[in-house]
Amino acid sequence: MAKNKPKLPAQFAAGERDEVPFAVMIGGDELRAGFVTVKEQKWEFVDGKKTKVQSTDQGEKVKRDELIQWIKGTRTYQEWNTGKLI
Amino acid sequence: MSLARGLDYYTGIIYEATVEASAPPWLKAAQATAAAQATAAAQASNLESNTLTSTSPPAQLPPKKDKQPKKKADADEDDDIDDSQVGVGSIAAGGRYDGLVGSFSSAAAGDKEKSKGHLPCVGVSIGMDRIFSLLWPKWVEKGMRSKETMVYVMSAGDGLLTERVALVGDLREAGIKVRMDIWSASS
Repeated sequence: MAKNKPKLPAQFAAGERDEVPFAVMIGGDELRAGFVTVKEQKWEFVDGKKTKVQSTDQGEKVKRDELIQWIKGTRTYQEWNTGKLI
Repeated sequence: MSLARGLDYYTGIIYEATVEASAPPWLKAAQATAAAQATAAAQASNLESNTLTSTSPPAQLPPKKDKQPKKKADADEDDDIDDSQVGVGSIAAGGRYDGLVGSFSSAAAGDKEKSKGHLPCVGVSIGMDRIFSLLWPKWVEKGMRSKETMVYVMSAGDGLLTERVALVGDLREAGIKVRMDIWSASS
């Protein structure tokens, strides 16, 4: 069932399931001001199991117009070519 | 032929490829014997762990029967496969089977005389799922993943469906792999 208003934790869970390195969050006021929030997610091995690195980082405010450049400028993006995350 | 490979239709050379992890013990033993003989040493120790063996003169016949059921059980298990224990058997096999295709075509034509349908064939098949079941644990071990999604666009609070779609569109146009929640994320 398609949802117009999915809950944030559910969206995060979906992103984590795919082990997506960048979570981009948009909010009404923030977007009107021209910003989005980007949170980088990393995974590590704990006892041989791949686990998401927990961080209290609330993410970085990035101008929406500069988001593409911002993502392409990250090390994660530039070193990305094999599906490897760590 | 000395190696039947299930159905006894081979009429010439038979190929069977195994990797170290999938090789049955009899093959390893045969290789050890061959390595001991100076003349065969060069052939027996090729390609680090990958060994392509033409089994025209096999040292001993493999105990094929008791290997088969175990292989099935291993393939069904998921993540924590000890790949040293995965006995997937050969990962590729084939050979020359001059009589097989002809026997079908002559039967289809209602031709009782088999020799008339003689059609020489050589073929090798590669077991993708067997290769995959050997490679997948190594992939996981390295921390790899199976999707290339770079960005997940999500909304905090109030839906913003069109805004999300617009942002996803912009990022995809720039060549960045993006997903967003279209279907219920909890499903």
